[in-house]
Amino acid sequence: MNWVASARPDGGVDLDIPVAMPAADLLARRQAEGRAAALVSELPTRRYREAWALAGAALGVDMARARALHMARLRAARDAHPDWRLIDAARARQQDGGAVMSQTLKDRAQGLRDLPQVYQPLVDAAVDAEALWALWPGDFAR
Amino acid sequence: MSGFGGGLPAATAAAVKAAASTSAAVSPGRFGDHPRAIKARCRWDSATNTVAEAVNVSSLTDHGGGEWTVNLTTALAAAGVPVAMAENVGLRVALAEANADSSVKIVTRQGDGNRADPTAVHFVLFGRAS
Repeated sequence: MNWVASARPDGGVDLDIPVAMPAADLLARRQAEGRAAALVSELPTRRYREAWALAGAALGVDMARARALHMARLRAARDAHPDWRLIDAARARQQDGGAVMSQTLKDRAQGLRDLPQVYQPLVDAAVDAEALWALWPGDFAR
Repeated sequence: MSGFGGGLPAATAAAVKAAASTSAAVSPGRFGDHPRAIKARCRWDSATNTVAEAVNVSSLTDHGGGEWTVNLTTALAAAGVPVAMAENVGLRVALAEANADSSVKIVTRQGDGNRADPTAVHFVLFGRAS
């Protein structure tokens, strides 16, 4: 199957999926809009769809954008983690004069806080999207 | 105007769109013009970017995670009434966020409001034929 990939002004990529209109006609339409466009027969992983980039006739993953996307997802998953919320609640109770946070909880809080710094060099070293995808804490929701 | 089986005359396109006559029959080729008939439908798999089934759809445009535009082959007289459903194990809500006579943008969101792909999207469109 052929799709039509075209570069958007915002740096993203639109992908036209032919149904009744032939792919060649969709390609001509995108080119008439002044966009860089190409017929593609294989698609990159959709896990980093917002990092897709069109370089000539090749559609691939822009690793710099994929790394930024991965780190943003990691921070969002950390912020939504039950332990992080528990720590937030414990910190608030402590500030209100309630029970002091245990050392175990303090260590966990520090670990979660430091997580982006721990992962950043690994993410920077990831050579492709698959290697990047593997860099994820086992107890974090995807 | 020829009759159907020697009985009712065939309804014109205008008569089908008006949906008022009770003395003319609708031929299969004009059935889609009736206001109660769906004007387009489409079902696609977001993981593979393939369309499983479609009627009156020229193409589908994938803009990114959880965001597509359904482009119609034959435009409606005006923006219609789109209905979309996201098929997924987890929560996904499908909304038509931009609705025009020749295209409809569908966005699917997860529980926290962020855009996210479902497994598949089902879409139907009601409205008036042009």
